[in-house]
Amino acid sequence: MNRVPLFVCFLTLFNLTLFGQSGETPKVVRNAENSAIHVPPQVAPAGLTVIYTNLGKKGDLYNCCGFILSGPNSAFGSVFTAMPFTPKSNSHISDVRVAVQYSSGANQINLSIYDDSGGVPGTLLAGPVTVTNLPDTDTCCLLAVAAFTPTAVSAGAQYWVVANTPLTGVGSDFYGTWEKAGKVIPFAVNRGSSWFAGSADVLPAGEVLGTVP
Amino acid sequence: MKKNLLFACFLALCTLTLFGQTEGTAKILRPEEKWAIHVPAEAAPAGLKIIYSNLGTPTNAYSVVEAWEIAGPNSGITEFIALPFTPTSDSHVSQVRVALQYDGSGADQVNLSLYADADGVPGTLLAGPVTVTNLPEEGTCCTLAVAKFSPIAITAGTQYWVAADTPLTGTGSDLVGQWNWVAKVSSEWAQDYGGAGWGQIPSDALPAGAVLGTVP
Repeated sequence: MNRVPLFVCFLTLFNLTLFGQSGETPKVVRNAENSAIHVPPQVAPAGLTVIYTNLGKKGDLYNCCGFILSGPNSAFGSVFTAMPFTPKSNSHISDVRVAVQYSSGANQINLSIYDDSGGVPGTLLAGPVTVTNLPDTDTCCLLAVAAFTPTAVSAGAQYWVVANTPLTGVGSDFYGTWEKAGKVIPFAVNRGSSWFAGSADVLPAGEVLGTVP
Repeated sequence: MKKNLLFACFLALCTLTLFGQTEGTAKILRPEEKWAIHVPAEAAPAGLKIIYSNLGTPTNAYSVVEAWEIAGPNSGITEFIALPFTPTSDSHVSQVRVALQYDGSGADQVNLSLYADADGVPGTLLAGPVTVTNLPEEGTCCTLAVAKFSPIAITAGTQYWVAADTPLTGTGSDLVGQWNWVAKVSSEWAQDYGGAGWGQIPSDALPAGAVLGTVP
């Protein structure tokens, strides 16, 4: 009889391992909006050009229900996310602004710039820059802003903004959300009580600023 | 030692439950592709026109490896999904074909219905539910779940919904399945889950399907 619960236990633990592999990605987060007032995003430094953005209009910059972003010492375990961008001109990146929000743990994340390797982040080009005091989950429209020493990028090449945490120590217990891009592709979800609207555009929201060239 | 194992078991079970709790809009599944051979999607019946479709080609009708979870309440969680569509002409819907698949747990059946729109979500039930059984296995392509309706009049320029759900109790309420995303047409982003390395995820996560019927 004792073998049965132990077998269930091992099966469950095995399944947990599978959750950490390719079988399932964490779900989209949806919480009630904490504030009906949309706080305008931080003003971009003068003289910087938008190299890439998928943000929406001012006051409606991004959509809720983004993806979990969490450090390995958070309750959810390690989930890191990266947003791709391709500059149209040779440029220098000096500012990255992303819709990452805070739920629990140390209120900080690391933002970095990577080159591309087969469609995923490859070599670290700049960072990590630690961003603290992120806006609370399900508010709008403050951004997590990281200033970089100007980093050269080439027109037509894909790069990545990576949001992650340290693997240990301060920040490794961060738990939050990277909200979704401003474009809405409607669909609907019902979790047993009523239908609510979602967006099927699941690109992480953010922008990259700098100078050209 | 045994106590530690049981505690670990309890913790693991708790964690599994957390995966299914209410924070999420919907859970994304990433099944591995099981068959290199793509069975072409069923041909549409003669005489029916495509009122709406986001399906790809017959052998690439939808994404094999990304999907929203569909689950009945007796599976442990509840996840229902709906796809909006807006006809360009006054029409009558008589068939819905969607990329629903069975994940091997619970009854192998799902309900498909047509709803009117109410402020951007499904509102009044117009037709159905039609129970579709023997769904294609997850990780395969490109067989579709097909539901036939008595012709239902719809109006040009008005948004409607195809909803996939299960009964709240009884047969079918324990389904664990999925609604696969549209075939990959959009840019990728990336996620490293559990330190396993970066994986690509499409940015367009619309559930794949088509609505057929007659015009008007």
